[in-house]
Amino acid sequence: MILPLKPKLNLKLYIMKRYLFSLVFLFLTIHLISQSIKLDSIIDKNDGCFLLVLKLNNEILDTFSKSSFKIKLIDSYYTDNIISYIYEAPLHIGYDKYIKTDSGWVWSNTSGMIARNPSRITSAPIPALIKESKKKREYKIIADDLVSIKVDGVETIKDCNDFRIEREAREREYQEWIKKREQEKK
Amino acid sequence: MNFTGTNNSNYIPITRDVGGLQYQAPQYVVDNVGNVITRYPVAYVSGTKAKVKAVFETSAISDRYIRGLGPNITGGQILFPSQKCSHESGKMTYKEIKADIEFTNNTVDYWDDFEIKWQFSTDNVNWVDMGTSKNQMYVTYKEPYIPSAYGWDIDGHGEETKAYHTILHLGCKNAEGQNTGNNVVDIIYNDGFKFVNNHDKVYRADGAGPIKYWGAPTSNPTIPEYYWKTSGLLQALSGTCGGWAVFYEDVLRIQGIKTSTISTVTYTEYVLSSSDLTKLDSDIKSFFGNEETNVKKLPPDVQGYTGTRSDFFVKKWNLNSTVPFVMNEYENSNPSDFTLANGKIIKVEEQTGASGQGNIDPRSEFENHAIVKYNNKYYDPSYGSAIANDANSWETPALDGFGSIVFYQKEAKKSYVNWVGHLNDTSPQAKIKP
Repeated sequence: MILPLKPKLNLKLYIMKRYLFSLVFLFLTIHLISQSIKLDSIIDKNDGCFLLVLKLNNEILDTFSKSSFKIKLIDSYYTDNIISYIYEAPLHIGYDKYIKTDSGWVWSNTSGMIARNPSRITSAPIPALIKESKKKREYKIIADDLVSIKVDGVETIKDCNDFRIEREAREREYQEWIKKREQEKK
Repeated sequence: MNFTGTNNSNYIPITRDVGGLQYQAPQYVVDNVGNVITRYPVAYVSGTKAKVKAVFETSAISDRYIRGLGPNITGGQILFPSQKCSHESGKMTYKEIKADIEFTNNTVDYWDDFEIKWQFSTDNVNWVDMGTSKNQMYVTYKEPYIPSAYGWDIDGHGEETKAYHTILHLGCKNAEGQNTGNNVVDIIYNDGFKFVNNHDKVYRADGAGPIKYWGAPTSNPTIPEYYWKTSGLLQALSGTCGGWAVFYEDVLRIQGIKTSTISTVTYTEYVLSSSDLTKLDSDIKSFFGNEETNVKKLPPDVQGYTGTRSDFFVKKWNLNSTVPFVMNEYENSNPSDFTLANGKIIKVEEQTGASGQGNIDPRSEFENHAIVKYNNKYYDPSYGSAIANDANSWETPALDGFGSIVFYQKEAKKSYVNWVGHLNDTSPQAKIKP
């Protein structure tokens, strides 16, 4: 069989088609990424509080944290049934985790305060604080309940199960305090 | 016309309030039809003589005598002596020369228009007016005190002290005629910083302002060092207490006052004492009940300090010794009353005031506060309050209480809450150093 020779014009058309196809593919990819689930910090129009919400394509699926202070999202971690994130608040850096249950998302007691906010500066200058505030800090969730804290490149790992252990210890201490108080009343 | 002299021991170079560049000579320029092209402020040290040089455009074809008549001061009228000036290419130059008398020694002076009436003569006897130059003139009490060593951990200033226009203006205008260090310091404060009926007290020399205490955009969590510095305060028209304290101290330093210091107020030097910690733990259990684990004590702001932060509460709060927890009004952008599961309410109890500079209701909770100490008296330029003769005389009228801030988190709900462990009484409770 004799194949017809492709004229030069057809080759140009072929390249153009490939180019257009690439553009469409890129557009679709961007569109799909933009539709992906993301956490976002927004202001509640009803009471002015700051909400951390889960969005899909700009539609709010769930509301998590509600705070009286501004928060900035630093890092987040999702699985099918876990959402956790690190946030910056005026006085501290915090870790929050929510677990999906049949009745919805439930706050995990492995949530807690990771550190003071290093970028916060006091009313009057404190030399040691100024030096500290210039250090580069990075906070990242590396696995469920494990947070990497890097200060000028030096890494420490925070096991957020410590928050649960601390809460349980405080709960026991509180129960003992109540008992002691009741005994004192008798 | 150029004002000149020996830098800082006689002539004080003035730094522009914005941008940090100095005003350069010539400080007064007028064109052929009398339009003023340049009119910069000028400053000298008291007890020294002003020095000027002037260039005049002329159509004269022969030499002329030129002199300048300045304003009257204690020693008589300032005269820039007659000198014979030759013409060259349509110009006559009055060579650099000192005034005949010095500014009154150790006395602050100020002219909004320091006028020099320029005259010429053909015979050095009969004089004809040929124009007047007018400059803002500042004369300082003594030679400016500009420490060679400075820094946050040296003198509490994050930059070198400079004779900014506003610094000279506030010092010289308010202390005009004063001739003792005590009076200079007190009168600059009382007339320049202390509130009488109005908290919009301090403006930049160009009229911009009022300069504010904790005004926008001074907001946490990321206050740059900028707001602790005189240069930042002048540019942003806003500063923290640290900014206001170094600003006032710079005004004094430029007048030659050497013995003022920045004094820092804390409750218990950033960390709660063990007795306060015991009280806080007990108050948390009693107030929050079985929500006790929702309360987290916060670390001190000073890195390396362990323990729980200490704070104090500047007026005005509606505090009660039986209710140890109130909603924080500053760190919470949107504070509101919150009812606990046990029915107790964390209330918003912050009231309007006390006014700060240019700000009717600034932040009222702090870990520290900067004021200025001089001759064992305390000056608080941030709040424009009365000069205090001792530390407790500052503390008693200024503060409402002492304690800490805790972080309350009940599942999704988060707030900062003030612990008011102690109300302010008339005894010294804060640490004021030095």
